[in-house]
Amino acid sequence: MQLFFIPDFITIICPIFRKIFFFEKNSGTGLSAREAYCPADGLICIFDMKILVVEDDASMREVMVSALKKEGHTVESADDFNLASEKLGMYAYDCILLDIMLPGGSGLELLSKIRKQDIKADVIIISAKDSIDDKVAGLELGADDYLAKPFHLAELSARIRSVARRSRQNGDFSLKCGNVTLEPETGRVYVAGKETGLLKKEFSILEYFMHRPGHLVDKAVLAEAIWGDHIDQTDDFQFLYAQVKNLRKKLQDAGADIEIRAVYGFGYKLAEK
Amino acid sequence: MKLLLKITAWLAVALTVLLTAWAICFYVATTDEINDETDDSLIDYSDGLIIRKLAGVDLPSDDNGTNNTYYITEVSEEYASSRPWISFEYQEVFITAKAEFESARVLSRIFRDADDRYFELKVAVPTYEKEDIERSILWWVIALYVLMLLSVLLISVWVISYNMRPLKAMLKWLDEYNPGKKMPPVPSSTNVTEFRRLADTIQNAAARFDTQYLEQKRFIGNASHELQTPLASCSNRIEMLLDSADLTEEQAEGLVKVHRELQGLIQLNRTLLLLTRIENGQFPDSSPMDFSVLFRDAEEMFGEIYSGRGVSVSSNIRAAFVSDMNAQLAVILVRNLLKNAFLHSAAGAEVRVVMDTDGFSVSNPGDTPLDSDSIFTRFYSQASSEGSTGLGLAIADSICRNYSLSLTYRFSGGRHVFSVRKR
Repeated sequence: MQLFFIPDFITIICPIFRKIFFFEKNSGTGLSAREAYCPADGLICIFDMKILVVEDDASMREVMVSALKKEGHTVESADDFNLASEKLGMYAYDCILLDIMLPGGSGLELLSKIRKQDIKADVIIISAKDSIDDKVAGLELGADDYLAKPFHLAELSARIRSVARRSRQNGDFSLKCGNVTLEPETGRVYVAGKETGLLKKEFSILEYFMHRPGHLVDKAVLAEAIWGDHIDQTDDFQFLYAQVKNLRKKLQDAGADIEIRAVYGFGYKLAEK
Repeated sequence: MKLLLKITAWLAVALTVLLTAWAICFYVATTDEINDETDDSLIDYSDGLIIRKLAGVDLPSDDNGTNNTYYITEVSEEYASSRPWISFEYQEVFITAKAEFESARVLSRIFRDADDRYFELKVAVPTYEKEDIERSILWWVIALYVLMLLSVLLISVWVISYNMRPLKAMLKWLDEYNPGKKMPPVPSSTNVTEFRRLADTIQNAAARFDTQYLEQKRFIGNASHELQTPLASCSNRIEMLLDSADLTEEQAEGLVKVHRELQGLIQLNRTLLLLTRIENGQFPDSSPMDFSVLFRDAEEMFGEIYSGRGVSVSSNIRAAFVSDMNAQLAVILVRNLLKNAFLHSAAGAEVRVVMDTDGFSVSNPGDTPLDSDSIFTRFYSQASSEGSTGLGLAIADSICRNYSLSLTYRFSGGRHVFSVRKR
């Protein structure tokens, strides 16, 4: 009963969010409502967000901004501490991507300022310092997530979606693509409302794809994400092929209207049939 | 070995030698003194006997209650001239009064009477039993030795531990010291010059370490920042290009190749930073880690990854090896060793894990021994291991050194064996 209710709930709630954010953001982004609403091949219904990228490296900043814009978000950026705090004082953001080492002050300092001023934005710390100390300090100061540089763009967008889901969907963390619903916290997958049994690795692979619908995923990157970073580039990916093959079969047998498509022989993409 | 134990042991050895020498000297001096006294009295007694004999007076009775015995026998001139006039010796003599043999000091004298007849006088006096006196001296020496040893040891233990308190305080301080940690000054409340100097030296060295540590930490942070950001932006740009729809397969393939190269570079950079961080001791938290559990997880994972090559694992866990270690590093150590074994195994080979309470070993079959001197150095890798960073074993070694474990390589029975043991 409840399973059928979830998609309906989303279709009702999504336009409401869209409306709210459409009014809030400047109309100068050049994106139509449709593009902003359904990025990435129209597979997932995630509202567009207003994001502030605080990053001092110009090239990094530019690539993050354009990638997020392509995802359908409204993006602004700041290159130092002062500009970032100025912008935070003037506008409201849904999500802030915060570098720790900034000219003019530390990102952590900015984070404690954000939390002190009760700014209700998700904060993802993006740091080149892959150190536990920074991570702990950041999370203690109230950051929602921590991403170490270098990261994959798909990873960034997945993290943004995941923190947004956590803070806005009242505890409903499920991912939906087509008629497939995946609940990361319970480990269950539903296809057309019916539960489908997946093995642990198959579940992880599907979850990875559902975080990045429509994006090309290199099989080396996928293997590294599921099995950890001791995967070598020279490894044959037999273990991966076997898992993906089983997953595809299970999805097809259950009547899913999405599929994991092989792209050019070196990667995959989650797409509608 | 504890300093106290060492000093005590040395004292014990020195005392043994000294007391033995002393016991020998004591024995010799005592017997000399006794012999001297006995000989004097024997001479006096024999003088009396000879005078009486020559004077033709009756000789005293043999049985006079003194246990002294004497014999006077006439001897030939040849015999007399072949013997010294006076000689002393030890002999077992039959004491008639007691009707038993006793050890006695015997004086032999040759004399001549007015008729030019030669006589030999033998006077014997029972004296101490040589064995008795040796035994009693030995017992007393042992008793004295034990008593002296105990008192010397007790005194030295007390004196040393009392006087070494500043050293103990400094050692405690050093135990607690970690570069970069806020510490009170080195305890130096002593008037002993050497300890004061030691305290000053420790203080200066610690200060130098701290500065160096902070500089290195800062350098690592900067290097990481400087490299990671451009790497991230390059990699992300390629990912954006790969996502664009109007890409030919050929272009996409090229981009994926560049992307993978870049990922290798990113991995290398991360690993190098990890190695530096381990060597700088930047993983301070540690807890007891059960390596049998870590191996079980890692074996399952690598078994899956390398299932295509048919490499199998056999583990012989006699007992779980538990050691205090940072959890992250323990996982890295286990995975690096196992991965190394898997990576350098031919298809169908068997990787073996053996574990007991003192350590564990990971082995894989191989043809020729590796150079055990350079195998743990950075970037030592053989031609066949293309694609790995060449840092896995260096990291494993660095982790082991950080936790006083030894990581050794040996080639035995056609297998490369890497063992980790408690030092």
